Amino acid sequence: MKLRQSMTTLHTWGGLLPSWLLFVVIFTGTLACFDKELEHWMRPALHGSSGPASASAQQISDWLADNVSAPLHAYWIHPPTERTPFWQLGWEEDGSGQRGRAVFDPVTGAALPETLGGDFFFTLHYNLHAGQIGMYIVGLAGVFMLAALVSGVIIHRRIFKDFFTLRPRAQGQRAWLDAHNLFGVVGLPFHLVLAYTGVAIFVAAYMPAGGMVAYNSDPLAFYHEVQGGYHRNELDRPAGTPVPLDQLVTAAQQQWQSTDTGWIIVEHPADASSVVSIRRRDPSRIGSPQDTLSYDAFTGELLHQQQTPPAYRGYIWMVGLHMAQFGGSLIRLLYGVLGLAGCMMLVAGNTVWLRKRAARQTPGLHLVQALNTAVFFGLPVASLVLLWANRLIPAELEHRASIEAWSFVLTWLAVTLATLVSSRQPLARARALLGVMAALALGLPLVNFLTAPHSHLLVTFGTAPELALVDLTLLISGVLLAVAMARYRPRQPVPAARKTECGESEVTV
Amino acid sequence: MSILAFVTAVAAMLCFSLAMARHHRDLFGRPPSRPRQLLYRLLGILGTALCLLLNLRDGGGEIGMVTALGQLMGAGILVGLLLARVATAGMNNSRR
Repeated sequence: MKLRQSMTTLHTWGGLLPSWLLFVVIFTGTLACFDKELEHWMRPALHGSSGPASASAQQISDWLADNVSAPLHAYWIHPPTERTPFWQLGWEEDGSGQRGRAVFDPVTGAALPETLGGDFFFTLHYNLHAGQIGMYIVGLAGVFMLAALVSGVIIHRRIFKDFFTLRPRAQGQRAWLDAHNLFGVVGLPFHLVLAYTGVAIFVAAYMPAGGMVAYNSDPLAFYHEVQGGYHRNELDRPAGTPVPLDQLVTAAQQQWQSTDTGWIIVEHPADASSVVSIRRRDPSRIGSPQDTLSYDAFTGELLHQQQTPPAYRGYIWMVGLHMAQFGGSLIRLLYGVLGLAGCMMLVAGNTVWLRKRAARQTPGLHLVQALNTAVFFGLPVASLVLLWANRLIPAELEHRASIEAWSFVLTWLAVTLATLVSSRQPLARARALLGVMAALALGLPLVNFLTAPHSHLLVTFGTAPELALVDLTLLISGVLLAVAMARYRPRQPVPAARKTECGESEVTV
Repeated sequence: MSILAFVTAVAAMLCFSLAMARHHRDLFGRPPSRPRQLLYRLLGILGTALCLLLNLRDGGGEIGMVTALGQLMGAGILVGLLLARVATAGMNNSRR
C-alpha cells in the first residue's frame, strides 16, 4: 500500500470514529473561550447591582467558616475582574475530597444563586465531566485529531490550488469536500496548535509513571519541584489565629507594585502549618506569570517567592496559548471563529463519508446518520436549553445548578432518542432541528426580557456590552439558522441533464 | 487598529486568491495574465507582512504574532466564503 493510500485510510477512519467526540470537545471548547462572559450572563442577580466593590477576601473566607462545617483541605478565592465581576470561592474537604463552589456579589458580599455557569462547558471540553477517565478519552481523541490533520495534509493533492475553493452547487460530495478542505486547510495552523497543546498540557496526568517512580509515588513533590512552588506538610497541631487575608493581599500587592491579584489559596486552614499563597494575575501575556507569594497564615511571614523554572514557563505558555485568556476579546473572537471552523470541518468531513457511501448502502450508514444528527444538532440544542433553564428556574430553588445540568442532559437524550426512532429522512430531520435551534436562539433574548429586568438587550446595549453581545450573538445565530432551515428544503427530482448542471444541495446529516 | 489589520489580512487573502485562475475567472471572466498573477502574489505578501507588522506594533511580539495568524486564518475563511458566494451568483446570472 502506498503512503497516500494508507494515509487516506487513516484519515477516513481515524477522522470518522472520534469525530462525534471531537465535535463535543471543539464545540464546547469554542463556547469555553467565552466561559467568563457566559458565567456573567448566567448570573442575572449581578446585573442590577451598582456601587463600589466593598466585599473583601476576608468576608468571603468568613462566609466559608460559617457555612461549611467539614474540615477543609484547602480553599481558594478570586477577587472580581473586568470579565468576572464577582468574588469566586472554591473549596475541597479533607478526607472525602469533595469540592464546592460559591460566587459572591462584589458590592454586598452576599452569596449568589447557584448556576452551572460557563465553567460547565469548560469542564465538558477537557474531561466530559467524567474526571480522570474523561481526560484520557479527550486526550485520545486529541491524538486522533492530530493524526487526522497530518494525514489530511498528506492526502490532499491540491492543497494550494484548492486553498480558497468552495463550490456549494457542485455535484455529490464535492461541495462538502470543498467545505471540509476550506475549513480544515485554512484553519490548519489553529487546529494543529490547539490539538497539540490540548494533549501536551495534560501529558503529566496522562503518563504519570515517570514522575511517580522518580518522586517515590508522591505526585505533589513532583509538581512542586517542577513549578518551583512551595508546600508545607501538615503538622497535626491546632491552628492559631489567622492573619486577615486582606492584610496578606495588601502585602503581596506592595511586593509586586501591582493591584492585579489572582487566586488566593489557603492550604489546610485548620492546621498549624496553614499557608496562604497569593498569585499575581496578568492577562496581558500568553503565559501568565507564576509570581506566587506564600505566607504563613498565622504570622504573615513571607515564606517563599516562586521562582518558576524555564521549562515550566514554557509549559505555562502552551497552557496560555490553548486557553485563550490573553490579549482581550479580539483573541477570543478569533479563537471562537476558528473553533467553529473546526466544527464545520468535522460536519463536512462526516457528510463526505456519508455521501460517498449513500449510493452503495454501506452497512452502518444509518448509525452514522443518526449519530451525526444526535451530536451535531443535539449538543447545540442542549446548550441552548441550558441557557433557557438558567433564566426559567427560580433563583431561590435548591440544587438549581443540578436542575440546569439535568435540563442539558435530558434535552440531549431526547434529541438522540427522537433521532433513533424517527422515520424521517435525514434532510427533513436536519431541517426540523435547524428550526428548533433557530426558535431557541431567537426566543432566548425574549425570555431574558421577560424574566430578567436588568439583563435584557434594551438595558445592556449601552451599559454592559459584554452581556449585550451574548444576546446579539443569539439573535444573529437564530436568524442564520432560520435562513439555513429555509434554504434546505427538499427538492423535486430534476431531469438528469439539469441536475448535472445545477448539482445538489442536499444535507445528509 | 485591529480592524485595519484585519482589513489588510482580508485584502492579502483576496490578492492571493485572485492570483489563482479559477477565482480570477469567477470575478473577471478570464484567468489573470502572468504579470498580473505575480502582482497579486506580491500584493498578497505585502498585505500579509503589513497585517503582521500592525499586530506586532499593537500587541507586541508574543500576542501580536498569534493575533496576526488568527486574523489571516479568519480572513482566509471569509474570502473563501465570499468567493463561493460570487461564483454562485455568477452561475445564477449566466443561467438566466
